[in-house]
Amino acid sequence: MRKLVLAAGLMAATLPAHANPTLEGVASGLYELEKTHAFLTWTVKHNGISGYTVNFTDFDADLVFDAETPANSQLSVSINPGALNTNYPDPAKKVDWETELSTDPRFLNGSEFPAISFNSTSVEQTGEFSGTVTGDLTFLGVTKPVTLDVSYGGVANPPWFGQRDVIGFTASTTVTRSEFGNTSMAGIISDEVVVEFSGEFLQAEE
Amino acid sequence: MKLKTLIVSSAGAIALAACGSASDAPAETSDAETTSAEAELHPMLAEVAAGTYSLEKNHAFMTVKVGHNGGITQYRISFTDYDGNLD
Repeated sequence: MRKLVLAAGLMAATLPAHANPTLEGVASGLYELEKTHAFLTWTVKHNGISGYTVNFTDFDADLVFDAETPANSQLSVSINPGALNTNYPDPAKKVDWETELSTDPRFLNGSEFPAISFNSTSVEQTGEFSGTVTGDLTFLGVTKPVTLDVSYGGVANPPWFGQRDVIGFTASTTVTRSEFGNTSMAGIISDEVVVEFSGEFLQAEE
Repeated sequence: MKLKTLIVSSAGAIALAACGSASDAPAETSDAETTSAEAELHPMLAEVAAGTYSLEKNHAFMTVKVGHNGGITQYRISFTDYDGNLD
């Protein structure tokens, strides 16, 4: 318990004195995804009545961040469709279901298309800490432009990262899966797929 | 308190709160009047069976989100073992 209190005290002491979010004093340059604090999900409407949400568990991203002019930033993302977590309740069937979801042509078809990628082509700042990131999404072998709605959450400097900045974002977009050639189970699974990200990026070591 | 109990209690609290918001409705109405009024207010619910519903666990998701590192992003955790009944 004492260790926990000390750690909490240390954290509190190292949290930024200014109110988050802020871009003041944030380093520009390359940031890498801080994978232990990153979440990427996709959600479809199921039976037309509720959201079915799946977590990607193997993805990476690089962000070239321009703190002075965020619109000059660049983002690249790679996702492994073969690594999913569905929270399926029956442990005996969970792996089979996630494999089917990953590899079956009705779903992510990862056997034929083992990578999903997004590379930004333009960034627009729409508010003090919000904007849109448009880029090319390659999914199921089809590349189409997609726009993410992005919010910048601020900067932190936890002591275990030394002088390196950690910056946080949330982002979301809605992808129309039929535009990428996937029309399976149309009456059961919605055409619209909501993709959501929440996570932190760590300033790369020089 | 076990997690399951906590979740069920929380769900119950939310359900009770939701019920509470409807407490301005007339206190005494006949069953027929109530059914008719609800059908008018919620036509999509008119043909839905009343009774006990069990959680369909294959299609249920429950997550908690907390601000992390001073709120710069959200840390998300999904519960993987929970249950619920809805009357």
